[in-house]
Amino acid sequence: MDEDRETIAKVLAGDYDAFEELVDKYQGRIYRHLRKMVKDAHIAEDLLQETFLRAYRGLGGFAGASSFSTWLFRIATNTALMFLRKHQPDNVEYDDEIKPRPELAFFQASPEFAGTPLEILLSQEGRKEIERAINDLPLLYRSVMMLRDVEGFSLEEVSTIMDSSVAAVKSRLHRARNSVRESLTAYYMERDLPVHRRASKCP
Amino acid sequence: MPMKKCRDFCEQFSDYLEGEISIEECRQIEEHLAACSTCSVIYKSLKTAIEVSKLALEDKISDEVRDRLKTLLRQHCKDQECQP
Repeated sequence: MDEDRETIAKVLAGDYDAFEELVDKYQGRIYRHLRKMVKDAHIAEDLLQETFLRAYRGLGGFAGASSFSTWLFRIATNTALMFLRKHQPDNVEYDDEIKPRPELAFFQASPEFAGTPLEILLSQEGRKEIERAINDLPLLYRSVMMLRDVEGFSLEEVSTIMDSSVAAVKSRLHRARNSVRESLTAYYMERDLPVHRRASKCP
Repeated sequence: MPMKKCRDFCEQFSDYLEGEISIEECRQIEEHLAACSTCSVIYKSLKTAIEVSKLALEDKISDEVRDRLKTLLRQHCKDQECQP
């Protein structure tokens, strides 16, 4: 984004306040991304600080091949992955699969979830359920869905941030989205028992 | 070519939403969605899941976290005259 490039030029010229402008602009999104990656607010805060320190120190090497936001999210993602590889290696190395959940297959085509008004889906309870559905995803699936569907990066940008192929991003995105859909569909069916009869299974 | 089953169409919904499939595949999906109420519900549910995920997760950051970040960065980057 041109606006960021101008700000970056100011930082590189010695204007520290310009760096704080970048921090103010991106800290909320970076913190959200890190919280979802590590699932712990305190660890996410440490990684947030580490991300911006690295960004400041590395700003001179920002070549502008990608947008600043893509570059910054890549630093944040790598910072979180390094932390997880060191402290929670099982989550990075072995937890990279969405486990089949045959118990959810029955719920696949129940209309309750899609028919629920947005104000209920986004109520305090509804938001918790969405958070739970996303938190249940394995790390790489969760990260891809966050970057594409929540942060709004393109498939190519997500592949740059995650250092993986676009094909791998698409595949993980497909499975992550459907896992969240299945979880939420199951949840809204269970809330409304009499309508179980209306459910149909996709052939 | 064998007839596509519902599951085959469902497997394409995410790529369909991304615009990552051919025009012919788009046409087949749209025809199928118009004819199959089961897949239509699954497709609507998928779109809803994506929409609410985007809306539910706020990028709010508490004043405390914001202030600690600002203080730490100033200490390391500004006060120590570290250059980017």
